[in-house]
Amino acid sequence: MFWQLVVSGLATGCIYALVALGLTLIYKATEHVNFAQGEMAMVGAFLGYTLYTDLHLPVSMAVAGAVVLSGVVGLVIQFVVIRPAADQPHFNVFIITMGLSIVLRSLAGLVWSHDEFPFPGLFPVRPVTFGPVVVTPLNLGTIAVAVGIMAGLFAFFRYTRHGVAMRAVCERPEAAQLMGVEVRRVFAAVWVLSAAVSGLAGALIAPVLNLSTHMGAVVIPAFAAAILGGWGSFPGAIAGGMALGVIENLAGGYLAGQIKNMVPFLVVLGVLVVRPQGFLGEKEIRKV
Amino acid sequence: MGARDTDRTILSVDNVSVDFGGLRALNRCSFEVSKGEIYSIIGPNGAGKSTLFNVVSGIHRPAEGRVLFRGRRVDGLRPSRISRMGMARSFQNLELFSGMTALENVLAGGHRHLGYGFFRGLVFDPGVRREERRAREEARGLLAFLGVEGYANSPVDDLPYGVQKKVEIARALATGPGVLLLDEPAAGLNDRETGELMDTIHRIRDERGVTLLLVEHNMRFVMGLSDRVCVLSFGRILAEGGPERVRADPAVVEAYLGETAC
Repeated sequence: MFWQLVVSGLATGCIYALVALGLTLIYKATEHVNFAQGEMAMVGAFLGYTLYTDLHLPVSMAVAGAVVLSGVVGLVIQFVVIRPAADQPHFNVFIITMGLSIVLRSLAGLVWSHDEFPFPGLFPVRPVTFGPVVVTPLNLGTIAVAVGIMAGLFAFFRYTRHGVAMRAVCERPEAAQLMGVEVRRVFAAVWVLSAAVSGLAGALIAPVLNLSTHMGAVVIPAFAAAILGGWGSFPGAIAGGMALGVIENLAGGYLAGQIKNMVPFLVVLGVLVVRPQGFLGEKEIRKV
Repeated sequence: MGARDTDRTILSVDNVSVDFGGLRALNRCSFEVSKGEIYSIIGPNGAGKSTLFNVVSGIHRPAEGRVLFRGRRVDGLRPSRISRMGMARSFQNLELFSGMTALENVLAGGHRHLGYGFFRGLVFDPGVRREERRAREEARGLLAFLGVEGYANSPVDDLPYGVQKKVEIARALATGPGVLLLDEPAAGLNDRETGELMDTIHRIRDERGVTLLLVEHNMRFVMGLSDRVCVLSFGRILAEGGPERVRADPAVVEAYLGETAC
């Protein structure tokens, strides 16, 4: 029972980790907090659904298409609503993304309606047995895909100069500009990456949650995950997401089912009281 | 004095003024730097040296006047554009990308020479890998040119100050500049390191054909190194010329009175 809860918790945790990674990408590069991250995941999942049902693509192609189209959505959002406000205070941009989350949800409702749809899983749900543990390939596959994407992103930031330049912009945008890095282009690229990662998260979790316009709520546990791991830290977002998924599942399994939804909030409260910088975050020391 | 764009002039600052609120930081400054020259700007604290650098590299926009680089107007252009045209700089207070290794800092400097786009970088095909390998070799070569290749994989925050300065110069050179602006490169260095730096600067000019524009405080360093010197005081140019001439200039002596110049 314990390990079963851990494995399925990890699968959900990977989704949280992906959305938290999307939040962290945007925050690290631009210091903007994107409240519409969950809706971006939801729209990505719907786009995948359309590719699957209307264009009759195989599931894997539909998911891949959802990732690409989500990237395009991210680019459009960046150009249309974020870039014009780039010089505004960060709080204004936060409010803009809150508005954006409402607009995206309503638009999705207009296009696809607010009903729930069954979303095809990328992997079968018939359980397989590993010794004492019974898991579904869907869970294992979700973990594998998410971990693979995270490793790929890590390699991109480490081994390509576009990745290195993006990190340079995160560190010191002004100095990066003087190296000939176009900061505005990097910001656009960050939104593309962030939206694509969230779109993947949406397409991966849709089979579990059922696809609906309410899926954007996934942003809440993602925020909790990012805070748990250390706000602004990439490894923190990943570790925090997985830890939160497991904690949530264990709490739901051993205590009471309804407690699950409370867990993210309790975690945020606990972390902010005990260790505000999160597990892997750096303590903020301000020189005066 | 107007800007004469002869073939020899690579950078010309023409009648440039900069205001900060009511304060005039630079007042109608004009000078020209020739190709292959080592040109230094000196002056007391607050004379406007760093402001001048910031105008030339595009961080500040002049209130009046023009900056011409390779015969083209660059004042008002974005710093990234100016950098792409072949102007690089270092900073008075190091502006290295902390959290990254020395090698990665230099790689970031070579960004404008990227032969592939963002999405191909995500795909990471063999062509990208080949280019990345070559870029890494070049970056290592630059660190070796400055004698700090042994620190390639260390996080820059952990490196001694003198090494960090060299990494910053390597990063600036990675952009492949025609003109390199060094802001107080000798500040905080001991005598031996200062000597090494003079050597390095000569090699940057002689071996890489880079024109150097320096802002410096250390008089002995400037006088020993520069082809021409420009003295700035309270935002105005007091004197300009060869080190000997400038040193003998009465206005300069007066501005530096009380300071044992050289």
